[in-house]
Amino acid sequence: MATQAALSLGWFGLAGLWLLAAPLLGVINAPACLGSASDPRLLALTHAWVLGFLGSATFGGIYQLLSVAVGEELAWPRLAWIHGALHAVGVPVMVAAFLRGNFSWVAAGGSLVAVGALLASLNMAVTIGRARTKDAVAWAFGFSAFWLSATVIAGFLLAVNRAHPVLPGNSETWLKVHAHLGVVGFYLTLLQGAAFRLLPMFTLGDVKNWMRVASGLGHTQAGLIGLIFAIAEDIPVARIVFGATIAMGLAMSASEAWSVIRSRRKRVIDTGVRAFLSGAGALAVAIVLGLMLAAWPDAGDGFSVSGAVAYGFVAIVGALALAVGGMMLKIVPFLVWMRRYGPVIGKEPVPLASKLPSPLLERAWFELHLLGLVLVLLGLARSEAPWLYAGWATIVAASVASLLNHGRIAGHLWRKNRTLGGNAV
Amino acid sequence: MIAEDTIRNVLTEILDPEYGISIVELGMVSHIDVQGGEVRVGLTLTTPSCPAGNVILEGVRTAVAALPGVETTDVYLQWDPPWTPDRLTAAARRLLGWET
Ligand code: HEM
Repeated sequence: MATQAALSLGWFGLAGLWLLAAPLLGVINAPACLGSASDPRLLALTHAWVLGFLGSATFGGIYQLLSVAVGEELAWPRLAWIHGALHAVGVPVMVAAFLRGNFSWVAAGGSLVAVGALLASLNMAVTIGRARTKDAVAWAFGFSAFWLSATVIAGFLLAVNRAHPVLPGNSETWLKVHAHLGVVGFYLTLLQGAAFRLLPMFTLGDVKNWMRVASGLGHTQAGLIGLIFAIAEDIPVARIVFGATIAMGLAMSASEAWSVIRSRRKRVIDTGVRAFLSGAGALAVAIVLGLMLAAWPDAGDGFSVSGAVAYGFVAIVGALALAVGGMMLKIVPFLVWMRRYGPVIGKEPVPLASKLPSPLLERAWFELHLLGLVLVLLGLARSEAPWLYAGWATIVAASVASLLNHGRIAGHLWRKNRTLGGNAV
Repeated sequence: MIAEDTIRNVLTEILDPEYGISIVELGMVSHIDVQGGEVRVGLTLTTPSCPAGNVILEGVRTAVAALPGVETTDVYLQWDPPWTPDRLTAAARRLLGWET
């Protein structure tokens, strides 16, 4: 358990670095947000978020939560460390290569990331396979592991394809397939499961209707398979139908999550849970944008270019970053507490896990991040770079607040228990 | 023989790390059995997937074993009947923000 906490804390440390680096890349490359969705600078920015911050934080969460979620020890903890090393090296190489427009190096860095992700998928699949009972949460973890593998293989092929064409057909089609596999398949599927372990734990609420959780998951999985087919075959009506199926699945999960919140016994909804819920709100906006793009693919350059960037931005920096950042606010203090104070429980008084963070810094992160999102969206809607600069700079400020908060929490790892006259662990 | 109340008292000092409420007030201590110097404590976690479960279990074991007169300690998890909110004491409800 202790080494698992160290493993996850390592991943969260990596996530912290990217939480700052990713919006800084946004400030530096703000005008690129007004160009084509496959501008290499935009691709660098996208992957700094999806693999750098979100990826690191999510794997940190998976390696901690999977075993408690399915009631089975992680199959190969050592493999998870190897995955961490591959990811830590591969992502910066990939992002730097995207910035330089050098797709051979994107493929090189991407191959490290992809091998790491394939190892993670295998580790997850075997762990889940060994679990005695498999509920909707276990299935969600399993499905997301599958989509993760598909995403990184497609990403690697796309990178190779830019340097030496290997993929049949239109590369824009493959790009859309890859992006949806990653965002909907890996991230949203995972959140559809993890939410029903985490929300009850942090609010003392309970899941009333497991059928609705399973049905929500079933709808997104069926919708995603259909959507991939519709994108690949370029059938606009099918894109809308399957997009709506995914939306329906997510709505079912959201309504059950809301009923968990309503049944909570802890009255105050803290910032971590509020950020998670705001992520769900941002997701609803992304879905509306996505369906509009699918319904009016030729609505004029202004909408189809900025609309596509806004869609990706709201989904990734809005929905996913808020949900994952919110979960980090809850999980990191807990891991630090378990590692630093767990061994002395029952022997001496210890501070509470919930008292390790600073509520002020937590709120600063959340509110500045929201403000930054609004400013960037204004910039995209008006096609004006100054708003984009202001928005990304605000998100940098949010990240600084978050890092100060997490630094303060991590500081406990080295702190002596002053209340007891310095009993070090 | 050590009194059940003595055990319960020492357990009120072990707080759930998330809610800051003692495991006794949260209704997580489902069973205490004292036979001479042998003490058995049954705990029910608020959720089976609580990652702090082992840490709390170990803490209870340490705290009980340190009491004078305790010779052996057996602390175990009990899932049946599962934890329900009805087990929260009035003090816990107040601390969770529902009653003043
Ligand atoms: C969970 C992991 C991943 C997610 C969520 C993800 C997501 C995305 C998204 C949203 C885009 C579109 C960006 C835009 O249009 O601005 C994209 C493009 C791309 N991704 Fe990923 N990605 C992931 C992993 C990878 C990996 C491991 C590689 C490996 C090299 C990769 C390579 C690429 C390439 C080359 C493109 C651009 C394709 C083109 O324009 O031809 N991705 N990805």
